[in-house]
Amino acid sequence: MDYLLEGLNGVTWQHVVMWLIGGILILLAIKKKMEPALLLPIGFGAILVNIPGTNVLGDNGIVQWLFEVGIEASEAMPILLFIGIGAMIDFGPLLSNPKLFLLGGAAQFGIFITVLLAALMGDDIFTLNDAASIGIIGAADGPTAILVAQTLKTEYLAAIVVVAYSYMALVPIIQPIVIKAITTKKERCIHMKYSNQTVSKTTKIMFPIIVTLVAGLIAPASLALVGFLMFGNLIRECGVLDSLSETAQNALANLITLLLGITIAFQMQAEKFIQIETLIIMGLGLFAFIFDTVGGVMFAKFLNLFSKNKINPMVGAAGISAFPMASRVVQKLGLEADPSNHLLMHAVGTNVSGQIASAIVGGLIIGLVVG
Amino acid sequence: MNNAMLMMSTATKNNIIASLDIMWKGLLAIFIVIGVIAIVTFIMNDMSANHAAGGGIYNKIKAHFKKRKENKNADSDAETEK
Repeated sequence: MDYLLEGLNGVTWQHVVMWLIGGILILLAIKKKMEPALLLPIGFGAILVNIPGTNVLGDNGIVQWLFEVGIEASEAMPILLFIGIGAMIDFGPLLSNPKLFLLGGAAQFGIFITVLLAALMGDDIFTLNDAASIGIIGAADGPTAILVAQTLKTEYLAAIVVVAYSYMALVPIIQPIVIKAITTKKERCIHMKYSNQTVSKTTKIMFPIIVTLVAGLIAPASLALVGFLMFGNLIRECGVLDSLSETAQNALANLITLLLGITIAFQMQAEKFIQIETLIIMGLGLFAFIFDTVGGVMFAKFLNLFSKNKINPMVGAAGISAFPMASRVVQKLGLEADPSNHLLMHAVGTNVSGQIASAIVGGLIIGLVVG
Repeated sequence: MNNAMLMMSTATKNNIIASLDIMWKGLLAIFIVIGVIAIVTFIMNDMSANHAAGGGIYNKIKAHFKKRKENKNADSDAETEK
């Protein structure tokens, strides 16, 4: 009968805590619909890898194999997922109003300030690589966070990913509080004109090629992410690859998302996850999101000093890469302030700009830390 | 501030300096990249608008070669009549 009790005998309180954490993530995914595509597999994976003596880990373990091949070897899963993400994005609202690009860049401010704050905690808590990986939570982009954290070989990959996805789902709660704290009602009522300019098909096709060239030449470490994002977008916009675009947006994105969550769970083994640093990372992650919002809003206010056509500062907050939640938050707050104030297309333009900016910043962080 | 800095280990001080370095270089780089992309987008939009209105360098080149072809055809017709 001993062979039946081997597993039970190996269970520690840390394993039980991880089962509870896994259960909470599954509950949040199903009941609260918080990023279910990632939190549910991560939650289930957390339970899976914390049952002792099983064959999901170890040299022939399937979860370990998925992690080693899909993430450790070349960060293939998050990069391939970006093809699907690129295929889903319509850059039209951004291309018709290019100054929104700047807001997307400004909303990455929280990343850098969080790197500094994590470094201030002390080298005995977080090394520079750890600090940079924690800062990238502010990119509000799962694949970017995974890529940076894995490339910098931080031991906090699982905590970073769980925190990043959790806060992405909490954007509708976090951002309104921050936006209302740093803007006045008058500012929130600023109307923005819509541009009548239609974006030509040629521009939409040239855009991903040009972004790839510019990002690759100036920030080479970002090319894996940006290049694959733009590749997906080019497939969408070229107009002759509808079946590939459809596949990228649906089958590819869903397949990788399906495997990515359970693969990330490899890092959610109790001994790696249950530590005080995980709680600190949760606090720092929140800080990153708050300061991303502050960065975007304050930059919009700065631009208004020089601009005849005022930008509603809330649109800057949409530069956080959490698409489409951030743009919906801005639209909702705009309507709250003034029922005739529709900011959605401007917010969407800024939001997709944030997608590009966050991928570039991810590469920059890798290049600056490793270099 | 000075006391706080003195109490920190060398590794921590180095990390803080490195993270400040990352901050200014990173922010500068992202704004340069984004700025270049924005400017190129402005130019592309402008060229598209000009092209749609019948202007732009591409239409001028097309018009030039069309005129040359018409002149060539007119010359060859005139020679044939002779």
